[in-house]
Order: sequence, then C-alpha cells, then structure tokens
Amino acid sequence: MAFWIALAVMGREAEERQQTSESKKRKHVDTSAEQSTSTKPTQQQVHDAYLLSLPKEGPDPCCWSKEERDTLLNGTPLLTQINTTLKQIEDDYRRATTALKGINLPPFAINGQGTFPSVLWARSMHISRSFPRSLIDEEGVWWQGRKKYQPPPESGPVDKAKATNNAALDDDSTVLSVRLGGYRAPVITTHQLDQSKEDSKPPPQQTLAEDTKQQSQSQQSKHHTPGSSLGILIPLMDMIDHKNAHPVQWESVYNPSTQTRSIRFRSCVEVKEGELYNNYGPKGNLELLATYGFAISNNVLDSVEGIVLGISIPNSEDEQESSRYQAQVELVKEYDTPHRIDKDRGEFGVLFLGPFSLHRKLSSSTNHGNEEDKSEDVSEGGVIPDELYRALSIIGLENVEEGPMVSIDEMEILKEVLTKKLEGFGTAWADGKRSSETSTSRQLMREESVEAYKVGQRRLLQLALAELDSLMADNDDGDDEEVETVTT
Amino acid sequence: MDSLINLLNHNSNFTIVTNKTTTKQRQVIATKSLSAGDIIGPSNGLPAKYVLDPVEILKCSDVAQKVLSIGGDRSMSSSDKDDEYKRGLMKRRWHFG
Repeated sequence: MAFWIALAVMGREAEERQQTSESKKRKHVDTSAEQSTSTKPTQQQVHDAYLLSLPKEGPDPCCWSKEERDTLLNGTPLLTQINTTLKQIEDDYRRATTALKGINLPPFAINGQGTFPSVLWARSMHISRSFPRSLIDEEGVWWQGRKKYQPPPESGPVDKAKATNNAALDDDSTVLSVRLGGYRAPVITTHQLDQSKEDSKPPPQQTLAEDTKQQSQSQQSKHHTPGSSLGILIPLMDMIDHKNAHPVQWESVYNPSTQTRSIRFRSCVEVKEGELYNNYGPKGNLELLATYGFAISNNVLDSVEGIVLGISIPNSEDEQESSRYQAQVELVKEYDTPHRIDKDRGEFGVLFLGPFSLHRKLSSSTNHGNEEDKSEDVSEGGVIPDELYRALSIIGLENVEEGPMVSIDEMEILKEVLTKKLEGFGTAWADGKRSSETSTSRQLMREESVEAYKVGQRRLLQLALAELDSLMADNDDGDDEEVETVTT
Repeated sequence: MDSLINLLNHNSNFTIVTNKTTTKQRQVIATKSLSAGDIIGPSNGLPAKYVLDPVEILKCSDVAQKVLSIGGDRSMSSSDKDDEYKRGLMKRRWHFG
C-alpha cells in the first residue's frame, strides 16, 4: 500500500509538472524535444514521461466497474477472489490514510480520480507491468520475495549469446539472464562475458523450481528492506505484449568498470518485422485475467483451483470410527496431503483435504529452445492429479487393515464437487450474453477474455468428469467394487 | 508516449504504434526482422537508473515512510499472519506467479 500511494503521488507530481511545462510552452518556443535527444535525460524526465504514458485505466478486474465485474464474472471463483482482494486493499487503504492523518499529505489523486481509485490504478500498473527486482539487484530478494538470491560462486555462460551484441561491454561485465519459453519454469543464470572464464567453468543453471525448493528448506529472513520483495517497473520494455510459451531472454548487465547496469531483452528466435512479444511467464487464464485483465484462448496452462474435500471428524467415544479417522490422519501425513481442520464445522469438526487443482500434465523437460518445442510440453493423460486420487482414497478408507481405497462413492463425491463448480461457469456465449454492437473495444476484450477463462475452466472440469465417468464405468465392468488407485 | 520514446528508444529496432481500432490500443512493432540472439529494443539496453525501483521510491517518499513507520501497511509488516496475506498478494505482483 505504501508503495502504491508513493507511485500515485509520483503520478500526480508528473501531471503537475506537465501542466506547468505546457503553460511555459505557450509563452516560449519549446526546445525540450531537441534537448532530450542530444543529452542524456534525467531520471525524473524519464519517470515523468513513463508515468504520463501509462493507460489511464488499470487493466485488472479490481479496476473494472462493480457492475462489469458482477456481470462478467458472476458465479466464478475469480469474482470471489477479486472481491476478497479489493476488501484487503480497502482495509489497507483505510489503515494507511488513518496513519497519514495529521501530516501535510501531498495530493495523490491522479487522472482526475479520487485517492482510492488512484491507489487502485497505481496497484494495477504495478502488478500488471512489474519485473523481478533481482534484475537490478542480484543480491536482493528473489522470486516473489521468497528467496534471497545467491549468485553462483563461479559464474558461467547461460547460452551462446551473440558476441556482437556484447561489443560495447567490458570483459568483466556480468550478465544475469532469465530465459523464458515453452511452458516450463524460467531458467535463471549468470555469466561473465570473458570467454576464457566461460570456457573454464561449467554453466550453472538453476530453475525456479529448484530455487523455490531450496527456499523452502532454508530459513526465510523476516526482516528486509521495505519494497525489496516488490517487482520493478521498466519503462518502454513493459509495453511488449505477452505471448504464451514465447522464447525470450531478459538480461541484466553489470559493468564493474563504470559501476552501471543496464536491462535488455534478447530474442531467442527469429522474429519477422511486425508485432514483438514478451513472455510474462507460464500462467493460466485465471492468473492472466486477475493480474493483467486478459486471457488466452486454449491456454494449456489453465488450471481449476480450489478443490477441497472434507472428512467429518467422528465422536471420540465411537472407537471404531475414531480408529478409522486416526488412520486417515496418518495417511494425510504420509502422503503429505494439504489439509486443515475446522473445528467449527460439523458436529465434531471437519478435516478438509486440499486445495487441489485440475490441470493438464506438462512435461518436466527443461529445454527452452525453439517455440516449436512447445507441442512436446503437453503430455497426454488425465487432468485429475494423483494427489487428488490419494485424497479420495483416504476418504474411502473403510477398513484400517485393507488400507486406502477409492470406491464409486468417493468418485461420486468428487463428481458432485466438480459439477457444482462447473455450474458456476455458466454456459457458452450462444445464449446471448455477448454485448451489443455498441460495446467499446475495451469491453469486448474483457468479455472475450472472461469467456476464454470460463471456456478453459469448463473444459478442464468436463475432462475431469469424463475421466471419473470412465473410471466408474471400468469399475462397474469389473468384479470388484473398489479400485486401488494409490501409488507411492 | 512520444516523449518516452524520444527519451529512451534510441538506436532501437522497435517502435510503438497506437491502434484504437483494435482491442489492443498499443502494439510494440519490430521495425526490422530479428535473428535469434538479437537484442530487442535500444541497442545498449535500458540504463537501470531509469527503472522505477520500489525500494528507492519508498525511501524517497515521505508519505510512504510515514505509512510504514506506524505499521499502516500490512503487506510490509512481518508477522506470520501478515506474511500469509503478503504471499497471496505477492503471487500476483510479478510476471511469475
């Protein structure tokens, strides 16, 4: 919140400076454009120009009108998520403005809006355009503030970057590279430009997945510099649109001689004259829509989130049921199943298993090569993850001696949960929900994006239901009523 | 927009066009074909001093410092409960979720 207010204040100040400048222009011949190209612009000049170039309206659903949100997202989990987020922002805003009472508060209402909409605007600009801060501070907090980045002790090359593009840099310059492409986690590496040093060292490569794993094993620092876990805004480069799986490399080059750093993007494939693309990372439509306000048709990274199953906690006086419940709890621990206990639900409380997600199984390959490789990333198979089947088998445990089993009953429970979720996504556009021809292009884009999100959710849920039907049909055909699905 | 391009986009292989007839009002267009390995945008990259860094902005903002100093920002505090809130918030802040 503090940063968003600060950003809104900067935006307001940029507006004021622009107004002052325009007022002066009326009296004098303007030479600023000529000056700006002949000398290096100041930081403030760039920041002002950047803030003034930003769209006046935030793209994410928090900045949509309430009516638009309620109409387009009605019944979807995204609406609940957005409303929760808005409530949190509003609470934070109240706390902040209460804190600011009594001081000489600079105005931060920009774009002719009130202060709260201006904070929402600043937040929207930030979340939808930011890049990892480690691009300017390798020692800084790493991805999502979860890891303190540790550069490899012996740096090596990440790839065969073209030497011609490094001609202006010193041999001692170091390059931090973030390579994106396909549907996998980005590969992050550092290397020095000095070829002799490169050749003598193995290329250390660390994926985000490895990074996160290491983080979970280490103690997270709870005290850090304010803002060090937030993304940075890179003027100009943040205007490039997203394309799923598009191979691109972000680079941060540090020149120790001049103690300067620069940020650059590198194309990883041949690009014809025309629209350029960036890659905002492997994201499903839920995240794309919530963060950037758009979604992609047939996004293979889609997932249906938030599937939770419950086990009623039995009366402790019922020995048989208690024994079964204890065995279930042991299995939850053994399978490392996400769970929580809500003692206020049911007669004696409920053990909730989850949340789980439905998603297509993607290859774990780490090849970040050509765009054409992406077809190899999507593997065949069901959309119900093994963890969810395990959770069903825990629920299906009837006899401690026999162990966990999935029967028709558990599959019916899951079917019911999924069917209810499916209902929330309504039906296709054919029933006349599309706006009239008078809708603006912005409204149409939002409608199309929401529809792409809903179609993706419906498709996954339908695939999961078909998967369950197929299993249940197989089960009916067999002699046994139960199928052991647990694998370890 | 023109002002920003004038300030930063020297020796660049892209330009930004405004097209209000499409749903995307702005597009970044390559002005020539690029090969694999080519730099996108200004040939020398963008000096990091032009980046908007939250750490520096928070340091220089009296308003933000005041909010932080009296705990008026949950996303910046460090209690366990707030960390949980912060993680949810952070998930959507960067290009990688």
